[in-house]
Order: sequence, then C-alpha cells, then structure tokens
Amino acid sequence: MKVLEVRSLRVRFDTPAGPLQAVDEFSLELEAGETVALVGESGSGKSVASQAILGLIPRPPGVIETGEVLLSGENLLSASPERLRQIRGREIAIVFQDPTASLHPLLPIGLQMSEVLEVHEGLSRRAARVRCAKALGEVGLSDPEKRLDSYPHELSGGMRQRVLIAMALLCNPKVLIADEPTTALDSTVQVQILELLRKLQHEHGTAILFVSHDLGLVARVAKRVQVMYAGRVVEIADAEELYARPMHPYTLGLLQSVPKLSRSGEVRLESIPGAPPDPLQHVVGCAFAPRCSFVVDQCTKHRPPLAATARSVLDVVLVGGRRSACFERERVGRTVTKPGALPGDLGRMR
Amino acid sequence: MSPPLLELRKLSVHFALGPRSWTGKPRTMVHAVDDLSLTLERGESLGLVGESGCGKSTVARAIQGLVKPVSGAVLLDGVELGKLRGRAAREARRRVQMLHQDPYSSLDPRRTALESVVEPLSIQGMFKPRERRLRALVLLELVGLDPAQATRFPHEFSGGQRQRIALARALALEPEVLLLDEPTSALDVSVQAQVIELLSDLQRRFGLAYLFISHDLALVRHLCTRVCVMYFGRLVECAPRDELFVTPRHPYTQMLLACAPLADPEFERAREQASITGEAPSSSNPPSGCSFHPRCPRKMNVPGNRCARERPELHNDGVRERACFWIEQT
Repeated sequence: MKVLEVRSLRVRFDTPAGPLQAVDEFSLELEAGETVALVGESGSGKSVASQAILGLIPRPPGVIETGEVLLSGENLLSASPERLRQIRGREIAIVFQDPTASLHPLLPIGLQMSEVLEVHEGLSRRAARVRCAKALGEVGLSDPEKRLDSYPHELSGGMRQRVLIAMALLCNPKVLIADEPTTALDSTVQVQILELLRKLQHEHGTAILFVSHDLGLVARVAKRVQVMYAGRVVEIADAEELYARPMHPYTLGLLQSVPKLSRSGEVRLESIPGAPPDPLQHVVGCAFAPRCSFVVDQCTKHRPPLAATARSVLDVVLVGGRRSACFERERVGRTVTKPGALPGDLGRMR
Repeated sequence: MSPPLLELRKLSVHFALGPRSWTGKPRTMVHAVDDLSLTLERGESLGLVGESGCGKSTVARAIQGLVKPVSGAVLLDGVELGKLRGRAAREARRRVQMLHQDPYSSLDPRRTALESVVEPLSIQGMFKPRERRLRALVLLELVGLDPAQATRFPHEFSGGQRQRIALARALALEPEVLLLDEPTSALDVSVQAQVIELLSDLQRRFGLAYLFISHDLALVRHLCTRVCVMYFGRLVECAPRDELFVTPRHPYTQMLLACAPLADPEFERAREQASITGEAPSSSNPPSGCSFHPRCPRKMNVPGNRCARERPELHNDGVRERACFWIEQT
C-alpha cells in the first residue's frame, strides 16, 4: 500500500540573484513499512524535497511551482494550514540532522514531548507524561520518568537524537522523514540509532524516507535508493542493484569515490572531476554532462528522461523497477561491475 | 640511531572543568590526553582515530603548542618544543603545520586566496615581498587552483577549493610534518576523493609526514601506513595498517570496525548485527580502571574484575602495541 506519493514536484526559490530551481520533476513512492533513501551531495535538493513534502518551505522566497504530495491519497500541497498542522506530527513526522538545534534549550524535554500529544490527541498533561515516559523507554533511554525533567544540555548527542525520534513517533505516524539523522553523531552511536529506527519501523510499520549523503549508511538501511543531482532524481534502483551495477555515471562516480574499509591505499580513489553546476544557471541538457566521462553529443542538447532500463521494463509495471536519467545508461551499466564490491579480506577483517 | 621526526613522550593535557570555586576547592580536571606516547617518522602517514571527545584534536593542538601539556613532552628531531624560545621556536613552528577541519572558518574572509598564502611567509620573514607572491602563486597551482583566481576571496570558492587554499597556506613554509585534523569531513564524498588524492600525491613528491586525525576508518585505511586508536584520552591500540584492519585485537578497535558503514548492501545485510552498548564515558565522571570497561564485551573473560580496578598499560607484542588485559591473557 502506498502511503506517500510525490508527483513531479518543482520547487523554486526567488533569490536576489535570480530564480533558483532547487527541485525539479521530483517523484517518490513510499510503501507502508519500507525504507527509501534519498542520496545526494550538498545542494542536490534532497533536503528541500523532503521539507516540501511537509510544507516546510518558507513562502516567499520558496515557490512550489507544480506537483502533488499525496499522503494516503490526500494532497498536502492544497491542504489548508489548519489541516497541515493536524497532519504534521500525527501522520507524518520528521527528524532533523542536528538534535541540538531541534530541541528548545530552556524547556525540559518532557514538556516539549508532551506538547505533541496535548495538541494532536487532546491528552491531559499528566496522561501525556505517561505516554512520553513509555516512548523514551522504547528508544532505549534508561530511567525515562526522570529523563522527562532533564534539559537538552544534560543529554548527550545520541540521547538527544533518541528523544527526537521518540517525539516523532509519539502519534505513531505513517511516514517518518529522517533528514540525515545520524550525521552529527559518532559511528558507534550512529549504529545504535539506525538499529533503533529499524526496530521501531518493524514494530509500528512506519514508512521511512531516509535522506543522507552517506552511501555507506544508505546501504545499511534502505531497500530502494533514489539518487539526486542538481535538483533532479537521476537514478532509482533497489539498493543491491544500485551498488552492484550503477546505471548513471554520477552514481558510479559517487560509489568509486567512497574509500573502502576493506581496501588499502594502493588503489587510487576515483573522484568526479569538476563541481556541481551553479543552481542559478539554467542548464540545457544533462546537468552532469560537463563532469561526465560517458558524454555524447545529445547530452548537451537534450535532457535525458528518467527512463526504465532495458532489463527492467517488466519490473516497472510490476514493482516500479529501476530507472536512470542517462542516454548512455546501458553503456554505464556494462562498464563496471560491482564498484562498491568488497574483496575477499572481509571475512578476515571480522 | 637518529631520533624520530616527531615524538610525543608521555604527553598529558588536562583541562579544568567549570568555574573556580570560591572555597578554593580544586576543580574537576578533565584528562583530555593522558600519558600518550607516539612517534612519527619522515614521510610516514600515521592515522589517529577515535570518537569525538576522545582527545585526538587536543593531541594536534598540543603538538602545535596551542595548549600546554601538564606533563610529558613534544619532541621534534629529539629537541623538546616546549623548551625552545625565540628564533629556534619560530623555526620549529615552521616545520610543523596544520590543516584544519572546516575550510569555511579557517580562512580569513577578508583576505584573498593569495594574501592568505603569502601571510605565513611574511610572518616567518621568508623571502622578499615579490618572491613571496610568486611562491604563493606556484603553491596555488600546485594544489590544483587556477592562479588567475588568486585574487578572489574565500566566499567565491567552493568548500573543496577552500580546503585547497588552506593546504597551499600550510605548505607555504615547506613543513616536514603536516597535522591533518579531519581535513575532509566538511566536504562531499566526490570532493573528498579529490583532496585525499592530492594529499597523497604531495606526500610522495615532498616526503611529508602526516598525522591524519579522523573518525572515518575507511579513509584512514586508504591514506595511512600505521594507525593508532584512541579512547578517552589514551591509546588503546597502535598497529601497522593491515594488521589493525584485518586482525584488530583490542575490543574497542573491533567495535569501531564493526560500526563503520560499508557501501555494499549485500554485505551490510549479511554481517551480524554488531552489539554496540553504551556511549563514550563522561569526562567529569571517568570510569575506574580501563576506561573502556563499562562498554567492553570481553571484561567478563578477565578474572577478578581486573578491568574495573586496574588500568592496562600499552604493551608491544612485536607487531602492535595494545592496552588490554584480555589480549594479554589470550
């Protein structure tokens, strides 16, 4: 069952320097209980897209030009502000990157958490407190009753992120948007938070949109991956297939530039030459063409559509399949097998 | 035998926590770096890894003389840096340079790229003004920037380019040691790859010694020949790269490796769930004995609750140095 569907979303910001197309032709489908990852480098539009879903784009300067965001069939983009307030936090929730900036520093966390329940479910403060304590226990905080009276500065970064996850899941939302939820945390804490998300997803059947720049993390959590570049989705695939056989040169470049834990320095890191395009400039053709080693004539003239790959035409009908916005996708797919593959010493590594 | 290029000898850096009490009661001391010894040879890359707050950046600051150690010494070519004064101190500083984590805050926004690279040369009084500019231009080209952009200001450059400017600035004084404090963690992966490859090219060309501080194990494995793992101010394991990554011995190293994300979903799904427990200890309330013992899965295998009572010292077993009672008895 599709809980969230985004169709051809376009978001523009009117800046003093001119219009900036942050997100273009963005589409997304999210099934109940599944995790889809949105991957891209800074400025690729992944955060703007996820914030637009929640109606969090400030207008002005933001303009949502076209598109639909359907949450269980209801279009959020045409919903009234009152309706949006009902939905946010109840049906769909978000966890941001920086847990310190997301909590009010002067209020105890119990007060901040129970507000969610008082607003959405009309609970009394006392009843809300009981539920909050239970939620804190679920995310693995010891002594949850006492923690409710703690202030954010008394908690570590990992604990704060747990509090925010507990807060996001208080009303049992259908969709959780996790925008780089572990970027500010250490790798050992990161693992704990990801495990926690997985456990809670399993228990509550929440669909998760996992926004991240870290391909390693995404490999760990997501079933399906959408890669973004310069505001557009350039490739969609199941995680296994994407890492084994990327069919967009940008995905390929990203995978090759990640240093591998299982491989020592004799291998050079492949990097993508150049830098992403200036978002204020209008690009004709493929935005990746100037950095691409597979470039052909038509790349600079026409924009490649996000089309199904030859192998997966049937899959598209059945499960959505894999798609790539590249004219040369078959050639890219043939060139490299398993760029993210791990050589034999992994067994020994452990 | 000639002394190592850079040596830390039983270095300890402590910070006082909180306001001074009017009763004269001593303040809580945080042991940011505790009894840490390591050596760095010419042309070598040594990785220093650990979680945030474990003291790895403080080590770099202590080497630069930015914080004063309470005990121990930093030696450059066998000469103690803290004892040098005047011209000798300035010369020693020239030989050890640092590349900071965040190129957005490490460059003066009101200086052009060229001025930023010229500045260290002026401070050290090296060369004539005209030659300084010429050298700065060559340096900018060396790190892969277009000299035509030299008169631009930092805000006109991308993060990767800014890090290149910062690198040119660090290289201006022809240092022998470069301290790299998470030099790519503020950059995107594709740009990170460019900067890392630039760093290893420069090392090959000029025989620089790198102390590479990072929490990214894959990056450390890529760039470094020897790796030291730090936990809560102390070294827990030091080994040549392949020994450390292929056969980690210390339980903390094993835990770190189990947590590192790998860009491969098949493997991610196949690998057993690492059981990670607890968080890094609080510095105001340090654990007794081995500071890792509250999180250690092996402490039950050491008889007599020894891990909680005694602090393990670093021992060399011929291949690696490690501080752990459990390893010693197996």
